Order: sequence, then C-alpha cells, then structure tokens
Amino acid sequence: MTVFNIARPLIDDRQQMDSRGRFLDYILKIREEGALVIGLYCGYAPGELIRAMGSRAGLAKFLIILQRE
Amino acid sequence: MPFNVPDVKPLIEDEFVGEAAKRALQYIQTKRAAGMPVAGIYCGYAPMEVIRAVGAVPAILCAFANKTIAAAEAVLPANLCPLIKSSYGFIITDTCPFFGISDAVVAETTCDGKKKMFELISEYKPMFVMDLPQLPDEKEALANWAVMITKLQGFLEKTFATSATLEGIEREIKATNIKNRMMNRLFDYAAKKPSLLKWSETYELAFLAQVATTDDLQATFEEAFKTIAAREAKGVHYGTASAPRVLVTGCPMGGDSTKVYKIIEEAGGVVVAMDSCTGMKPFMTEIEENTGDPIAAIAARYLQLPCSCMTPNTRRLDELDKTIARFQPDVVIEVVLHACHSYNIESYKIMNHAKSKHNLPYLKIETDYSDGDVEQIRTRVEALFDSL
Repeated sequence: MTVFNIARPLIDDRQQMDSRGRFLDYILKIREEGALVIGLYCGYAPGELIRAMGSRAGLAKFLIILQRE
Repeated sequence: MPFNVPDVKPLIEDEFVGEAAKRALQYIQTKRAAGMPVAGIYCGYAPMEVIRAVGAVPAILCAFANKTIAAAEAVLPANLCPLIKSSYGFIITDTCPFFGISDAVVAETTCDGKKKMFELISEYKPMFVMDLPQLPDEKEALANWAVMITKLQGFLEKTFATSATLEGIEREIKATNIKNRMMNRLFDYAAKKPSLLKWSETYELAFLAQVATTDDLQATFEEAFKTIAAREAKGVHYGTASAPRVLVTGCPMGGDSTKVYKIIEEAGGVVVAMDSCTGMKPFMTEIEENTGDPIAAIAARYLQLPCSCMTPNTRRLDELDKTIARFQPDVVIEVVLHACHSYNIESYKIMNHAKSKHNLPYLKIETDYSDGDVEQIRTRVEALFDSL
C-alpha cells in the first residue's frame, strides 16, 4: 500500500472526499452572484463559447456544470 | 391464415415464391453478368438514384439471420442489436452472397452499433460512410446531406470508373417516383377492407423494388395488378373479413424476425401495413422533380425518412397518423430489436400517440432473431386480439 509522507491534502477544506459537494457549493455561490448556469452532459460541449457568451451578454459569468454522476 | 378461397394465384409467379432474397440475388447476378457494378447497401438512407445514375445496381446486404450471430459474438458484444451482429457475422463467415458480389459498400452513420461495425468491415470492400445529419429540421442538415450525397457520387464514380450526369440523376428521380406510385397502388390493395394481400406478397414486391429498376419492374407490376383485380372481382380476400387489422411499426423486419408477422397471422390477424424500412417506408414519399438541383432534391427526400435515429423524430408521428387513416388498423404492434435503443426509447411516444390520439391498442414486442420467444410472443398477440 502506497502512503503519502505528508498528511495535508491538496485541497484543504471542509469537503474532503466530497468533490461533488465542493463543486455544488461553488456553483451555488456563483449563481447567487448572478451567473447563469448551463448544464452539460458531454465533453464535446464547447465550454469556451459558453463562458465567452457570458462576457458578451454583460453577465457576471457563465458556469459549466459537469454532470459526471 | 389463408385466403378465403383455395389455390389463389401468387402475385409473382416464378420459381422464387416466398424467396424474396433469392429472386433479388438472381436479378443482381444477371445485371452483374451484363457488366454492371454492384453497390451493397445496408439502409434506407442510401440514395438509390445516385447509385443507379452511376450505372450500378444496388444490393441489400444480409442482416436478418440468426445463424451468423454466434460467429459475430466472438468479436461483437452479445448485448448488441441482432441486425448488426447478423450483418457482421455474414461477412466474417463469408456467407452473404450479396456482399460477395458487391464491388463497394455504401454505409451511413445511423446508429452507434452500425457505425462501429462498419469500421470493422471496411477492409473487406471499398466502403463509403455517409455522415447522416440527425437533426433533420436544422437548416444545415439539408446542405450537409447534399454534400455527402455528392461525395458518394464521387466515390462511386472513382471506384466503378464511371460517371453520372445531373440529367441522369434527374431521370432516376423520375423513375423512383413512378416506382413509388406503383408501390403505393399495391399498398392501397393491402389497405382495402378486407385486405386483398398477404403481408409476404407486399414484402416480396417491396424487396424486389428496392433493387430492380422501374423499367424492369413494369411487367411484374402489371401482372400483379391484373392478379389483384381478378381477386377483387371474385371476392377473394386474405384472412377472415372480421380479422384484426394490424399495423406493424418499428425496426426493419426480414428473415428470421418475420416470425412476428407469421405469429400475427397464426393468431388470426392480418398485417395490413408494414411501417418499416423493409416494408413501406422507402416508398411513401416522392422526390421533387425538375428542381435544377437533383442532388438537393434527393437530399431533401431522404432526410424526410422518419428513422428513430433522428431527433426529434416528429415526422414518424405524422406518418403514423397518415398510415392509420389509410390502413384503418384495429391495433398497432411495434417490433423493437434487442438493444435498438433509439426505437426502444421512441416506442414510448408511439405508444402514447397510438393510444391517446387514435384510441388504438398498442403492443410492443422486443425480440431478436432466435425462436426462443416465439410462444411468448404468440401468447401476448393472442391476448391482445382477445381483448379487441
């Protein structure tokens, strides 16, 4: 069994082992700030275009939800 | 279930009665012996007019037998559609005579399984895969499909060392329209109450009409229409006058999957409409003539084919409305081949449409090419007819 010789995780927050929860918190926070959220299913969706449209429309930002589960 | 009188004359009176594939094979072999190249096809989206315009004869490739599936499953996943497994099995066992005499193969990106299977067989014959737009209502779809048809023309011309002209393609459009009118005249006889045709008669003529030219079919159809007229005059009809009239929709049906048609008949029903690519679907619409751009006209017509690979496939519901109005079925039976996800998912819409809009009983049968579920299907069909 391989073990790391340091105890500190790469992302040191309260959501250890809960990447989905961390991601959702992030999305919800940005959404509260006025961003629109676009759901995606696939890697072929052009994320750059979605974010760029946010700029053009004068919105705070667009976000991408990657639904992997 | 027989005709209501004995010894009814078949519509095509030759040595191939009940053997649609063998009749087609003999036709293609005759053409090939006369020097025509053969283009193998797998799908109703293959533009026949272009194939004919380059001087080739189309051959519908083998895809409907259970016997080749075991060999295919040595390579392909077992939980794949039987049509694709059978097609592949025929090729690796070298048992499809149509593939054997094909000089090239025309393929389309209709479904994922076929698309990947084509990769595996691409080394056997020169092959052209057409990228089929699957959002047919998008304005780019027509232009993109026209481009693919033009590229197919180039592929065939290069492979067969021949050429087609726009005038030649226009002639083939007109020939297709004449053929489709003849086929629809045939369908009208099937639609009569009671029906004048057995399903296999429509099936056999549809099979031949896919490969034969309109000119070559004229005499066969004239004789068939005379035979039908004689039946009508004598009061001959198929099945009992009160037999349940069945519209069968869904996946392509042929060979071993025609067990469903046979079961419907044995249960006392009459198949009046075969709404699939091996039945009426290829003949239901015409191609616009004299547009000045025959490739675009062909592209527009083929994109109208309501295959479940399209999304949204609202045309299928529209066509179903017309088919129900024309054939007046008592029941809709949908046949879905195992693992044909698009037809399977779409069946939910078809069921709701048949029940809510037309108040028709609906039965979905999921099956493959084996005979293991014959009695189960029979029980379900008999129960359906009992409930009418």
